[in-house]
Amino acid sequence: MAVSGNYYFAIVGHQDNPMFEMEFVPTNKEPKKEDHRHLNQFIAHAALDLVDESMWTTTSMYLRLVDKFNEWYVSAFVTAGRIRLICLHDVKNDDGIKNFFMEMYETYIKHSMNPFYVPNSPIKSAAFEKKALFYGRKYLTG
Amino acid sequence: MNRRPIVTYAGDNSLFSGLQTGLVTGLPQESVEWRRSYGRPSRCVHVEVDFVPFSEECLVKETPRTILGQPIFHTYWTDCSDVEAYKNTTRDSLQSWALALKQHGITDWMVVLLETPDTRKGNKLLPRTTVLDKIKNDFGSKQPERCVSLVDPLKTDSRSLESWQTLLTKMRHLLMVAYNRALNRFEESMRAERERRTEKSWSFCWYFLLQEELAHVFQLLALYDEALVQYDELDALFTQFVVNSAAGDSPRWLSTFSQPCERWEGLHLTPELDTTVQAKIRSKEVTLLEFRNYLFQRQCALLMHLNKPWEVASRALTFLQNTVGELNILEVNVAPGGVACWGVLSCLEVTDALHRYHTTDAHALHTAPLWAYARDKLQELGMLCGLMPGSATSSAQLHTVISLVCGMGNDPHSHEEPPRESPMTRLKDSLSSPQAFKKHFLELSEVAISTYKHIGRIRSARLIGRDLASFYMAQGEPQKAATFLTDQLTVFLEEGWQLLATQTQLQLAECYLATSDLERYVRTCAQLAGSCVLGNELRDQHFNKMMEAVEGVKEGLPVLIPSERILEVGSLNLVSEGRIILGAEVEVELSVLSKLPQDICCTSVHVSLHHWDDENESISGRRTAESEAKSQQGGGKTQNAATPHSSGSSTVDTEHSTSSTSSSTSSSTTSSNSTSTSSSSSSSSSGPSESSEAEGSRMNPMIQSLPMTLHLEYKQDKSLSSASVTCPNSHKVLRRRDSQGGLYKVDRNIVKEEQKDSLSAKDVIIRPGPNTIVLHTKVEKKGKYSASQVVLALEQVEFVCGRWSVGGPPLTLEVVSESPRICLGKGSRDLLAGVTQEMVLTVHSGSCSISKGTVVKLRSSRGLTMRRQAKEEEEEKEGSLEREVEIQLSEVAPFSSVSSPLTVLAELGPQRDAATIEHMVSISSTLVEQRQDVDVHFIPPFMSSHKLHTANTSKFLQMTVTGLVGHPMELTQATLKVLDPHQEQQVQLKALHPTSQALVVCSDQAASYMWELEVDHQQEGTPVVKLEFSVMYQPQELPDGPGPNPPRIYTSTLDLHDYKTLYTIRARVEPSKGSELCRAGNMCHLHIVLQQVGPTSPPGSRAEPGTTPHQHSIMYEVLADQTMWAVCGRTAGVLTLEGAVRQCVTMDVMPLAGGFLPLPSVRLSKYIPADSKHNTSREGGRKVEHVGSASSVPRLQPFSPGQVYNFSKAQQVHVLPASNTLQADSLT
Repeated sequence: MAVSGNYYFAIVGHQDNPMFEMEFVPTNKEPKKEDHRHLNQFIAHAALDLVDESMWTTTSMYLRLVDKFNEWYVSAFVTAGRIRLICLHDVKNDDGIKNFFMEMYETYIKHSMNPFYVPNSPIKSAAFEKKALFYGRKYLTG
Repeated sequence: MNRRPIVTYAGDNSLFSGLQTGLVTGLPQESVEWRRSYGRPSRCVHVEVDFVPFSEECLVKETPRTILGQPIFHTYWTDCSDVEAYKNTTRDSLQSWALALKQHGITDWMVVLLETPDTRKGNKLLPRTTVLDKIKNDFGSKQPERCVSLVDPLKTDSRSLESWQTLLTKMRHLLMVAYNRALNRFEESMRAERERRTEKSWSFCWYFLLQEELAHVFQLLALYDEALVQYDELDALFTQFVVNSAAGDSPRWLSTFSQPCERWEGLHLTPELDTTVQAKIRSKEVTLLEFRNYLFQRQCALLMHLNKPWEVASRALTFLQNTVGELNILEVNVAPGGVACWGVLSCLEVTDALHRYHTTDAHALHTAPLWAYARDKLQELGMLCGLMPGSATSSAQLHTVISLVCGMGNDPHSHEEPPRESPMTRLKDSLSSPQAFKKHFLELSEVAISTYKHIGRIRSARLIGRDLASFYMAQGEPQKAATFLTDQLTVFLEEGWQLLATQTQLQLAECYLATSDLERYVRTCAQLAGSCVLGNELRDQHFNKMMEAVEGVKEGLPVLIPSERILEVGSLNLVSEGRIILGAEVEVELSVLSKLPQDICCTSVHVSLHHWDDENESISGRRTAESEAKSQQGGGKTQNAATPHSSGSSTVDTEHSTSSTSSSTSSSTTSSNSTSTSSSSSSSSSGPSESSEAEGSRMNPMIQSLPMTLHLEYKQDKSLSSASVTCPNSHKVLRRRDSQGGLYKVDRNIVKEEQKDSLSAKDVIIRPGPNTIVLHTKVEKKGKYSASQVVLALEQVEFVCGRWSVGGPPLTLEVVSESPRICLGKGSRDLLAGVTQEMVLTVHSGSCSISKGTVVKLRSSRGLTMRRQAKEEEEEKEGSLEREVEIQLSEVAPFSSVSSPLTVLAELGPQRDAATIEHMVSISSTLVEQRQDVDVHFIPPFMSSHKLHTANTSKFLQMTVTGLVGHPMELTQATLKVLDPHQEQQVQLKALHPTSQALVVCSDQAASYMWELEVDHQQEGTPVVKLEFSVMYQPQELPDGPGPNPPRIYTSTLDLHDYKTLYTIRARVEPSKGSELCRAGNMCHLHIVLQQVGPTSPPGSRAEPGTTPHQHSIMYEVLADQTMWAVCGRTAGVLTLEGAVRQCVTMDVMPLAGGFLPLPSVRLSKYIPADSKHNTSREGGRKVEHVGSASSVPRLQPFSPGQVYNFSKAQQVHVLPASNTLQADSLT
């Protein structure tokens, strides 16, 4: 397990619209102030272009590191349906992020099979959030 | 520094020095294949060597710590030409040389024997007796190829040249073998060294130099890629060490790199080796920055050699970021700003180097982040040194600048020609003053933004733009900042990044406040107040700010604010029930979700209604809507700002466009093109209609069809191997697209629609959360209305919600207005004349209500009378049938009708044919503006005709009544009478039918009556007799028919002319004398007897006494069928019945055929001679005019049918066939 750092996770839909966001901070650290949340979003949003770019360079869904912005690394994962999972992190944790992405992908697939969920719309589900938190703790902040 | 492999020479040194130059230049001229061990691929290399004289000392070192500077190959040169001399001297010398080599275990050697052609010649007789043979024998027992001879190299003949080349080739080969051996040995020791890296005494610096030497060797052999691998390995090794040290595993040597950096010289990309740094590495005094610079510089130099400048660019950013990371991990103490300086310098160095390659465009993908990085670092410096706008430079900051500039060291480019702006001069200049800093900073920003845009990373460009916006704000140029921010805001809103949008709006609000752009300020504050991601405190704050700002815009037009995300219009529901009638009050419920933190008091709320009256407009509207939609898409991000122009037309398309949305979504399986998230998105994101389908697909790549083509693959025998579908330009289609078009549309330019009609409510308080507002209007035009814009107006602020943002199903009203209609209809059957019939007057009220007592007047044409049917035995008895009727209507509700039955009777006049009887009814009423004329057709139930029959002098009159309709009519009491009482004596009628008989006529059934006409033949002339036929008729009752119809009388008058018989004709055919029967071919006699009937007095005197008898000449004509009869002689003649009553004419006729032949017919006509006088005579009751000119010719006038009675009509005569006996039988 790598050194625990800060993580910001987002699911971005087809029209570059955010569908889900979550932050993971190490349990021992103080959670960051709310005011800085948008900075993560700015980086994640700016990285979308790079995700789209590197999407075509590989056949695998996990795109690894796509961008580095100051102290932040940006890793990405593109589902078969072109939903983008983006993760900002300040430590390298390739395997953990990959596992996390895989799990989240599966969770997302399950969620999207819900007939009441409109694809590409924001995910508002307590169960989904719980899962995300669980996997975040398991693979990221650990 | 150029260290070549070393080759020693021994033996005859003077001889070698003569050849040395030739060897040094000759060896690298051709490449030699380097066969490598460990299965590595063999490479072709050029060898360059340095020659040194052989000495024992240089062989001393045992373990090869280094490879360069070591002799790797040893040569011995001799020109001993004589075997004896060889035996005496040379052999010993060679032997000691070889022994020395052997002692050191060196196997890479070569002996070169210089021969002259003479020496060879002399020893030709004895084999294996040359010096070369001897040498081979003595030394080269196993490797004779290591002993070579060189034939007189100073000559230029082909033989000596050839031997020279052979020597070179052999030497190259052996050299590479030796080199390979040496390298392998070196690599082994190097690897062993690396394995020791966990030992405490191990030092990276030392190992670095070792492996770098290998890299040098490869570089010398021009194997740059291999050399690069060595550096990359070193890079990775070092990186790993640092990363591990972060985990607490820090070897001692690493502390060298943890020493504080006092200098931050930038990267200097040069192909040359930086010996000073190398020396520092050797002495283990190198700083991390220096080391990293050195390593990267080496890597870049090799990459440049490999002609891969783009890789330099792509590695640069990682290098920079990585190094900064390492500085942090190792906690290297660097003065603040030092790293930034280094970053800026290095970035600029790399970009400059790439610029020199003149292929900047190709590296844009990698240089863009570099520019951004440099910009970022420069900004860091600017903040550190107080160069950013709005901050004054303090003395401490000035000190910082000075120390930073010192730390940069000397400019490596200072001596370059031509002098140019080196990275260092630029950085120094930037730090010199705020103005210069601003210039450089903006320049860098611009380059970064434009490069990002160039490679399609718009978002990254925007991120810089956001940063620049803050810069401009501090600079005091809020307009410029606003440009960047609005650009971003659009994207964030479109893509639904609420948090980012709100952050941007916060900045924008400041901008607008600074520019005192009140309108936008109010708008932004309103949006912030309604933002769901902001805290309540901030929202309240902005709400108050907005309200304050509104005070400032007391004058002029109110501020329009798009209501999205502030006041969301949920739905419009029609409350009024039933059909909406023109002028009625319409009530509509509007539900609004207010996201504002506090109550607002709207002075008025209204929903504009768009009215469309007829089809034409809707069609043209649709057209404009489409073109509108097209232009919107063409404009890319220009949203469907509801302009007043489009406002009217687009509405029409509501159904249309939504349907196309659903089709487009269904057609694309992967697309999740916002099916129902909001009505706004569904209506606006759709590619409306087929005409702009292409546009639509451009908007949404997910629904674009791939250009697939059939691909057939054939085997060699031309049979089909496989068939597949391929996409020929997949790389183009599967390329990433910059903008996929946002999910949410943003109305930036709200224009208030001007509509005449609107639903409105006054003074409404809208509380946070859901609200329901009831709106009213009075509709004043008929047709369809659709709700378009919702406007919630405060005093000077109007929240406008465009039609597409209104949730729920679109509201449409249909206002109806129909004028009353009156129509006159017949009953179930066709109308019959002469019988009372039923008709119905129906009044449709339309959208009005009809009050009781409204009068409808009916006026019919002559011959048609009518009456209102009394209902259910009303007080008054059925009135008489009148031509004018007034009907009073009862009360009628809207959209209903009332009907009142009428009884009508059309007169039945004398009817001689089946023509219908037409009548007209005029309807007039206060309900309808114009008088209405209705045509009514009546069918006569029957018609009557008469016919006169003659039998000699007796006359019979037949009256026939023919039924014309299916409805049976009973006829009774048929009578015929003479109208003129004076004539009653002359003409007496005697009915031949029973008078009490009742006959029934209908369409297939006729009735006839017969009267005998007793004519007084004694009376002279035949005056016209007027008769009147009358019959009572009554329709037979039908089970479902109207009430009892009383019998009515039908009368018809008729005139009788020429009813007297004047002449009779009797004709017979007799056989000629001697024969009894007529026979074909035999002549017979035709006897015609004409007899005048009536008074014996000459008929000429009967009408007018003055007429002369010759006027009564009669012409007869025998008309025979020429196939049966041949008439001999004259067939016609004129007879004058003067005095005589009877005349006989006989003529010869011959029957042409046998059998019963009809008699030739005889026609009588009045003959009027040619010289008759000009007069008018009355003959047979008919007026005959003799025109003067015609009198010169005799004329014929036919008799009326009843005037001549032919007794022999239809008689036949039996004629025998020609061959038989001459018997004839006349059937007289």
